[in-house]
Amino acid sequence: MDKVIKVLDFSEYPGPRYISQGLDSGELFYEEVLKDSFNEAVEKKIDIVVDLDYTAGYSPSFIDEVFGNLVYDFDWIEIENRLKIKSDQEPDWNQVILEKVFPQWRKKKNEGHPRKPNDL
Amino acid sequence: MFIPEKFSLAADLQEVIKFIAKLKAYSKIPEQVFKVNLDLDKVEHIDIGAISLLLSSIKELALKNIKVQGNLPKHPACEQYIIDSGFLEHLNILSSTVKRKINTIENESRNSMLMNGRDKTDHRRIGQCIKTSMKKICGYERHYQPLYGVIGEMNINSLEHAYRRNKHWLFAVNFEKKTEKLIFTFTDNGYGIYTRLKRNFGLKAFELLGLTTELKIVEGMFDEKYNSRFKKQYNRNKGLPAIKALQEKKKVTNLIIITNKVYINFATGKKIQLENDFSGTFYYWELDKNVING
Repeated sequence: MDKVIKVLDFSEYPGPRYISQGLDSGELFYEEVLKDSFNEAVEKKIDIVVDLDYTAGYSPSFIDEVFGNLVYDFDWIEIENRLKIKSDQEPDWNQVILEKVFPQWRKKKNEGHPRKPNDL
Repeated sequence: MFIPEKFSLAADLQEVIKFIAKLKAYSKIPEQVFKVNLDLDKVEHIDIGAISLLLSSIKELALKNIKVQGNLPKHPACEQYIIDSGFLEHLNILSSTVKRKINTIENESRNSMLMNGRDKTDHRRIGQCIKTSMKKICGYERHYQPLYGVIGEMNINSLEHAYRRNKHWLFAVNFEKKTEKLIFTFTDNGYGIYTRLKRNFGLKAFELLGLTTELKIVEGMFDEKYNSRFKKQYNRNKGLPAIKALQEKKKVTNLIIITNKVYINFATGKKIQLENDFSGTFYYWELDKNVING
């Protein structure tokens, strides 16, 4: 059975990219929720669904930080095979994550750049 | 200081920016200026864009301990407009007559919401403000996801790129009864997009890309032209293109940006090189029922 994570359970008002910028950040969601859940999904060999619906919305930075970090901590094949995104209210996020976020973070990682700029 | 007769972005954009630049200049000499008196007596045209710029400038002066006081326009419609906007409540010094006028407005009929912040984003308050405002055009409170995300991005930019210290931003929503539109503004009083790029990368880098004017350089930021050329953080610079996309996807109407000497209306494509510099970034857009249902 798939593991389902609802962002709404984390916050109705998802915040900025980094913890230092404000409450309910993408960095916090990744560190406190998604990273462990994804790890569990890999260990149990099950799929994981991230449900983006019914919050107030998302800034692109929040989305970028949440999903991009997966690239640094997990094998690409696990991400590609296990991650499912549910976003019925804003369907564009699916395309943004698959076509922009992942390729950009993979390029960054492959070229040896840190996941977070040094000045932040 | 006399506020211009046409204190409206629609009626006289250049004059408004000239006045704002003059007012903001006082923040650079706080040891010489303790109080500024704003005379609105002759104002005959006013709009929420100009009011938001004025209010944001007043907040900037307040950070330098410069107090601001003002009067009301003699023109009755302008007087009512400025009272309804909530602007006066943010002045440091108010006369008893003005206080009485403000107090006569019932909370329920107030048509504006203003909030300002400093060194952190405030997604929660912004989200709640959007939700409450939507009742004015939809008849019930609801989220509007495309808008929330983009305002959040403006908020992040105002902290990440705008300042080193004295961070300050202002978000305002105004309901225009006549047109049944919500009018939103977001303002920061930082360096502005062009000045920030110039400081970070120098103009040579842009010349190599064939971008030789301030207008073209700022436009390029909204077209996601620079991230891979200027940074190794390929995933950054999603914010400004997302703001422009809000208009392109028809999620709002009449989206305008003013930053440094650049004015762009993304709805009409109108671009103006301003005569005076607005040190900061100002966004303006509108929302009505048709857009929500569209």
